[in-house]
Amino acid sequence: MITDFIKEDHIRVGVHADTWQEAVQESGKVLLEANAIESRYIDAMINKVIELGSYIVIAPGIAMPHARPEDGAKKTAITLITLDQGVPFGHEKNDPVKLIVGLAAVDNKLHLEALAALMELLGNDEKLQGILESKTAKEVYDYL
Amino acid sequence: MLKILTVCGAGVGSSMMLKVFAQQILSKENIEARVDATDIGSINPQDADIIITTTDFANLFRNTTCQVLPIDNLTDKENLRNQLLKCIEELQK
Repeated sequence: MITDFIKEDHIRVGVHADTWQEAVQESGKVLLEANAIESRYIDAMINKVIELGSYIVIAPGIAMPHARPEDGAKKTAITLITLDQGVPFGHEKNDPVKLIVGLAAVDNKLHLEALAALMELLGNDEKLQGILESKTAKEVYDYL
Repeated sequence: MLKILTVCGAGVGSSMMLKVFAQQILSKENIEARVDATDIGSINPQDADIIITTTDFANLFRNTTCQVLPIDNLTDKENLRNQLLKCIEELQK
């Protein structure tokens, strides 16, 4: 179930970020507040992109920053942040990013079904649009 | 047996999802294949018949002999399905 890993307090709407680093940081902050990561995990999320490129932009307008379990993940959790305006991540086709799916994973199994279900949900244009236009975390949560 | 590797930066995010989607597609079509997810640092392209990955990584495999499927949109399972089945068909010719 998606809601096993995304709780209502894992959701923020209309967050402002000027750069992709800030956007990833905001997403990391929510993981930190959820006690899912140590703070060094956030640096690892950013370094992965610097090191390997914008591959975390997994679909048009959607980025999924994450690091590896040993980078300081404490439990498996997923956070959702919508941005008040699109932020470029340097991706050829999928920029600008409006939705950040923050992922902390302690192994490579637990979160899979939830993520797969989330991808199918976000593949539905109507629902994605609804999530992006939501004014409150509760509204977003109701889509899940 | 057909060997498919799904590849991403950390080996826990997009590659795992591509693996799940690929397995779902293959089992629906009754195609037997082994699908493994891996990260870009530990991959050996010789281990695979088909590599599924994101576009920026796909460029790194330009010189390999296996088939490489670049996927830009993880929410578009239909596109993955079409590309994957077409690719398997080609391989079996």
